[in-house]
Amino acid sequence: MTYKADTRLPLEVLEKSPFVYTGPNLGSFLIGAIQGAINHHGRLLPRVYPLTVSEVTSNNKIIDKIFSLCFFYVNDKDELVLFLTHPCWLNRSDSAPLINFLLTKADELAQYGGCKFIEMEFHEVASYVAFPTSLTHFSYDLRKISVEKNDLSLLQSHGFQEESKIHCYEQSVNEIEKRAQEEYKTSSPFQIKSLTPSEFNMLNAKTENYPAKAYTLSHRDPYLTFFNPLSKDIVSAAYKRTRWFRKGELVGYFRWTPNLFEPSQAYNLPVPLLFKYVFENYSFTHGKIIDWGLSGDDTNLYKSLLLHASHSMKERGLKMLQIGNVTDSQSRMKAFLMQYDFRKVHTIKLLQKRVN
Amino acid sequence: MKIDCLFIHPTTHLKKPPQPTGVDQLAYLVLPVGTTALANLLDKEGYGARIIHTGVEESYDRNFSIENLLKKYDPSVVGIDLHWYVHSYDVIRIAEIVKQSSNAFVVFGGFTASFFAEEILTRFDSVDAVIRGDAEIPLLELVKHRSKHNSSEGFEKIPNLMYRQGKALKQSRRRYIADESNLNQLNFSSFNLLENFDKYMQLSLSVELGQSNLNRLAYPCLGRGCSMNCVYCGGGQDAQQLLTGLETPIFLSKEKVIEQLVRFAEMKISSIYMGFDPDPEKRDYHKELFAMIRKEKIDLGCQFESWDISGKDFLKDFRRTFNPLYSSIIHSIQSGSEEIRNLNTGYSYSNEELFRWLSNAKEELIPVELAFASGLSGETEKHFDDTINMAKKIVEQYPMVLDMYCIPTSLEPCSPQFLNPQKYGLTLKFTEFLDYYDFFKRISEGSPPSSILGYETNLLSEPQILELSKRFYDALRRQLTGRSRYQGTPQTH
Repeated sequence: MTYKADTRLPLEVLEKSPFVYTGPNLGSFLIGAIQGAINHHGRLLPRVYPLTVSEVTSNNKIIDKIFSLCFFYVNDKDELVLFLTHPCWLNRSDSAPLINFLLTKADELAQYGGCKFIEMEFHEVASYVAFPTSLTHFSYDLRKISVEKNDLSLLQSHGFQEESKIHCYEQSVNEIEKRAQEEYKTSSPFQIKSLTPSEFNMLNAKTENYPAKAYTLSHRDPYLTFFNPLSKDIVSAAYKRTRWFRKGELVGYFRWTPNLFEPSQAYNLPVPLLFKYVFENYSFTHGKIIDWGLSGDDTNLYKSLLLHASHSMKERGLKMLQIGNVTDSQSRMKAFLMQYDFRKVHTIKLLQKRVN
Repeated sequence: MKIDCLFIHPTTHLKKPPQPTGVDQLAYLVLPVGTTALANLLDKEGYGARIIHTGVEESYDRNFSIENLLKKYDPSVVGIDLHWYVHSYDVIRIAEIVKQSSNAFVVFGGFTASFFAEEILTRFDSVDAVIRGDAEIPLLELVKHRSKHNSSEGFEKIPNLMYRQGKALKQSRRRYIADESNLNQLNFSSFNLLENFDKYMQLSLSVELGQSNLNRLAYPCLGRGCSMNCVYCGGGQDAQQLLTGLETPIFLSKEKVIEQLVRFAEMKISSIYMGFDPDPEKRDYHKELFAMIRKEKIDLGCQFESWDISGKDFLKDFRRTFNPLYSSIIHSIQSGSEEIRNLNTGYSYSNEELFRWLSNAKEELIPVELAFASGLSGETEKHFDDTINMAKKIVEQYPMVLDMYCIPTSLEPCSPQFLNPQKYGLTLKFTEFLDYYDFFKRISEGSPPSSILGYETNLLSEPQILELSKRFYDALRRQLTGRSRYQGTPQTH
């Protein structure tokens, strides 16, 4: 069997595992170009590599087999990492040699870039997962993607080890409101306000040292911290109440987005943010808290922010609330969500391998 | 290995800030669609042919040289395409190397070569002949002739050929003008004869330096000719008649186009660039073609160059025919002033009609790319204010407009304004092939050219025209950020 690797994103990926792209330069992505080089310690490299492995048959027919979007990023320790999105099967067969071939190419790429690590996200799906489903700007609608435990074993046999588990939980908006109203009778010591994305961006620096924050691959690399300006994403910001009714210190925030998979699927749009106008009146059912930060352990702070986010979703007609980017080690947040009977719908296993 | 014909595609070299690799920046990498058809025709007739794309070879092999190439293939004919004037310097540079290091017969073809044939043959001994106009039968006969004879005797029987005989220039009286049946017999979709085809596919019209290419883009042949005469275009109806003898556009049969697209899909090409929309009255051709693409379930994206605006039905058809990934409609508005647009373009519409078309595209969720120009005939700074105001309105109201460009109008050989500058209020600085040759020689060496545009208008000087284009980007930079492929978020450390 002959395999070959190419750097392209085949149309078949969209058919087999529909995705949405929300990163920088939406327009250029749509017509086939991802902008941007990465400059790490004076070395300039193209950032993104859409890696497709194909089989070439004896009569020279090319059959695309597996795809992963790879890119370089700089982690918080200023190390260069090659990141691979979950390998998407286009035509599954001979898993072991194909994954082997994909990883060999990734290894070559990582060595060419001078990377310290290769990382890969691997999905475990328990139920429907709202957008975003990835730690990157490239999210698959996980209902169609093929995930097999055996793939994970294959990756582990190549030296990948589990670095982190990042979870997503879900509860209905009505249930949250019901619980909160039962439990939350006394007046809250926090004042919660809705902020626009631009208002929040001005405050973002104040949240840098919060002990509990949503997981992100890097706080250092602007490619990953880039947030596309979604007009409909909403920030609930918590301030400590002061005696004189002045706005106190910012102590926490939840930031949520409507589930972009819904209009994306309805209108067949892989880059839905270019067509924001179609979802101005769109009835979303799911919303997801994608970014959150808390300055302390006060349960009232968690509750106040959750209730506010849930309420703002309900006002817009949403039925289900998901909260993502919760790591396995964030036991305080997990315990709080369990208290509200949230159920786990998704886990991203972040696998890591040192480059020789 | 001795072959009969080696096609060499030139690539323009730009010596602007050296790239990190230390290599010149290479530009204008697209291969004319006819080149593969010519090579396939020779191959079908039993003659050995190969196509070399010098840009691809130089990008991937630092040791690439024309000399080594000639040693490898020992061709009896070398065909160099000079379709676009941007290759004016590189074709001569290559021809000179071919002459110095082999006994191959050097023939040029393409629109620019056809237009300047006499001057090229007079000035440059390295060029033996030029095929003026359509090249299929002439090249086949030339290769056949060269396989039997080593002289120019009998060249008068080869149609469209201008050649040197002794010190005299001769033009064959025989004329070959391809018709629809000729086009239908050609093979535009087999790239077996193009060396490093995979690598050629990795380069793309859409991709600038520093970008990663997700797409594989190919250019199907839909036909030849045009029914319009835009004053800046060297491929309009009158130009085609002068260069090739073709009076009205000819279309490939839709079945033959479908054959090309099926082949492209098999080659894992993701999208096509349809750059042939020569007659708004004949859009039924495209509608029927789109219907056949849907019927055959061919999954491709499409960048459709719409030479005129279109009706809502056409947009609906486009949207339901092509994959939403890698699909967009590209249209050149030229000017925000109706008066200037109608003076310069072969198509005609009001601003109200344009905005209605954009609203339809918005409603149909079709991404659009738009082009404007500066330095148009009759244009003043005030007219250009209309262009900026229109662009601002578009960027505010039409989020599905992916990008907008404003490029100073270039002086295309054989365009109405080149042939009749006074009528269009132009003073030409480029009047002959040597001017184009000199311009591209200078930019390949990094020395300043005597003129950048090759003209000025009676209302605007060359620096003013260039400044207007800059003004466009200054006025729209903020709004285009995040959409344009040329402007990204900061990504350095």
